[in-house]
Amino acid sequence: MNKQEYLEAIRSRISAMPADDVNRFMDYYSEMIDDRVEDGLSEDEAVADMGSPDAAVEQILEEMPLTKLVKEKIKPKHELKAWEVVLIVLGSPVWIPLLITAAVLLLTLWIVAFALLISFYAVVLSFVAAGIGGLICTIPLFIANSPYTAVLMLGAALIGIGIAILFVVSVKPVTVGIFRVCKASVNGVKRMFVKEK
Amino acid sequence: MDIQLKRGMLDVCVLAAIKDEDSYGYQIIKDMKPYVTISESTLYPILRRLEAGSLLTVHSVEHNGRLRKYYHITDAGRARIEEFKEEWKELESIYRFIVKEDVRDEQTGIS
Repeated sequence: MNKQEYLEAIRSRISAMPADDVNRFMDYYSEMIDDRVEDGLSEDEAVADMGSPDAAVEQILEEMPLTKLVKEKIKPKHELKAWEVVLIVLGSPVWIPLLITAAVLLLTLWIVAFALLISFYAVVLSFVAAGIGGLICTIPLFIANSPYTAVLMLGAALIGIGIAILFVVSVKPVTVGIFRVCKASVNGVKRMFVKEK
Repeated sequence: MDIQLKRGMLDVCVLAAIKDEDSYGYQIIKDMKPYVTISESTLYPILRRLEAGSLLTVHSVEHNGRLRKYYHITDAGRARIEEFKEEWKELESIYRFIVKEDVRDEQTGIS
């Protein structure tokens, strides 16, 4: 990939961002490549040194707040004509509910994700509680002279604790995974706003 | 390394790289390289953030028929470096505390 192709690859990914930001970003990468070439690298080597366009874009997306991206996207490119204003007002019964639906859907996704997480914790906790409770109950059952029930209880308690241990090990990866999904969804929405259709 | 911790430190690293004289993107990366490797895509948001916080200013200088952006540290930027040195003392004492525990553990045979 040469310099031109690299810069175009970046531009195509962020073309819907504020023009100022796009230009500044392009200038930065253009300067970086030029300085490398001046340092004795060939153009292709210089570009290869820069990392993929996707990685570059990902970085600025994370820095830029979603609200700024949205504001930029909905800002009209030209002064609105009278009929356009009328259309927007008349269309409001359609687009306002749609907008709310989209926002609610995203919110629902997050709520579901966190509900899953909380219920997962609850399951782990209940196995732990059941296991410990079962162990404690074993003692009075032995004293009350019903050894068969006591052994049964002991077995059930140990199974509970065993399952709990299996779950506890997976608590961290599950938590990290769900947080990653939430973060990815935000970045996904951001990407929708910076990419030209 | 913990991302938040490293992120704050990289900000100061970039300020340190332009502390003595104005510098430009590629030079900053090269100057930092012996100590910490930083990529273009990491440096960009840092520079933007520092500029937004008035810790540095940007000016363009013509170089070989093209414009190159030079970064100049502000007084606030220098103050940030000093602030970091103070914070570092605190971190160091935390570190000494952590290491001290290790040494004692080794001596008593508890791991």
